[in-house]
Amino acid sequence: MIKIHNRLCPDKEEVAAKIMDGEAIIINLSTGVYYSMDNVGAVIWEMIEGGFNLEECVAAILERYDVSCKEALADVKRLVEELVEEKLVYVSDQEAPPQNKRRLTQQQKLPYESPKLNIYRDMGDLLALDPPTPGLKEIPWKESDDEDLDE
Amino acid sequence: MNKRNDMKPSLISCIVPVFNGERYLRETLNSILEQTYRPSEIVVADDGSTDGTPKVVAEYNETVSYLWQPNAGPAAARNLGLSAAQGEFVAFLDADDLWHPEKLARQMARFHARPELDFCITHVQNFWIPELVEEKKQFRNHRRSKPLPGYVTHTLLARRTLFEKIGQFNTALRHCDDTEWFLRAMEHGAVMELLPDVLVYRRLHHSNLSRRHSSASVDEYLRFVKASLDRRRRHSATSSESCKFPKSDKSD
Repeated sequence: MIKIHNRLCPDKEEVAAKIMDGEAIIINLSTGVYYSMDNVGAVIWEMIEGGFNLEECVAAILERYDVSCKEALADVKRLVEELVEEKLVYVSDQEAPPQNKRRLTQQQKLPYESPKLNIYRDMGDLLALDPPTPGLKEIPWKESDDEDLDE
Repeated sequence: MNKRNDMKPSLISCIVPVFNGERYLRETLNSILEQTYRPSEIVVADDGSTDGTPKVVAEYNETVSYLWQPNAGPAAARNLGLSAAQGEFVAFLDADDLWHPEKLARQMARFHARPELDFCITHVQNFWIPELVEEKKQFRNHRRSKPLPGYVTHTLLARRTLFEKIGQFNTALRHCDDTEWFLRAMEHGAVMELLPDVLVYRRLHHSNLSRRHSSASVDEYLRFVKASLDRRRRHSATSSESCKFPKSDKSD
């Protein structure tokens, strides 16, 4: 059960993500399944990457978009549950540290659209074999060790 | 597989792109020379190595051809090999990986059984060098430790004419140039077959390209997926067709 103060963390070992043209592209490097979210979804992903907890996400959405608190909370919870189910994000037991929330200067709120996680499983075999591997650390190369091994 | 005896020898060019690969290059070349279906030529495409790579190739005398270019990335090295290849078919093997002795024979059997085939790939098994035993343990139950469908050039045997039709490898990409080529092939309607057999062994070691360029390649990978997604969305807006990838029963 996800609580309002839980810290949300992208799984940086297996997940690569970037926001391009206002769209979040997320790849599970282990399965090759990839995802997209635009508009509100991309903004929520950006907040998750910034270490926001659920409450802070909702507060930021309310600042930016023309939406009720009830609807925003329901949407954010549903989306986060989906992200957790797809193993893109995990929920930490620890409470989130205070965030430096960006204050928005806009006077008029933007129209709101429920965030949607689009899931693409069609290229799993193609993408999962040879992905970059953030879980594998750079290992210092030692020429002397190398020569020893050749003997 | 008895068809092997009835086969006429076809011309296969094996292209080995290499950059500072002296350590494993002999094993790689030997695994090509040990094929039960012998290729007609082996071309080492050296991407500006500064180690003993040319000396290793010289040990093979005229059995192995050697081409050199200033360092320009793996896609450019593969293209260099392609430009020299004379075979009706082309295969690729990176200078640290290995083939099963029957790799080419089993793939050629499929081309004889299915003349419409444009390219054939196989499953691939990763293996770790002994120094990385801890990493091997870390991935024991991971997908990367299991046989995987090999959408990589190491497994590829393709008709050379396919490259004339859909183009060579994209030299602007440093990491996912092979993935981009496979996707382009599928989008062009190329006929392919994925063999269930593990016929390629991929060595994971200290200086794999994906490891060396990890953070840069993540960015390239994401951009590539976004571009592909945009293309597909545009295509699906104008057509009901989409390219299909065969599902592997070994992947999970």
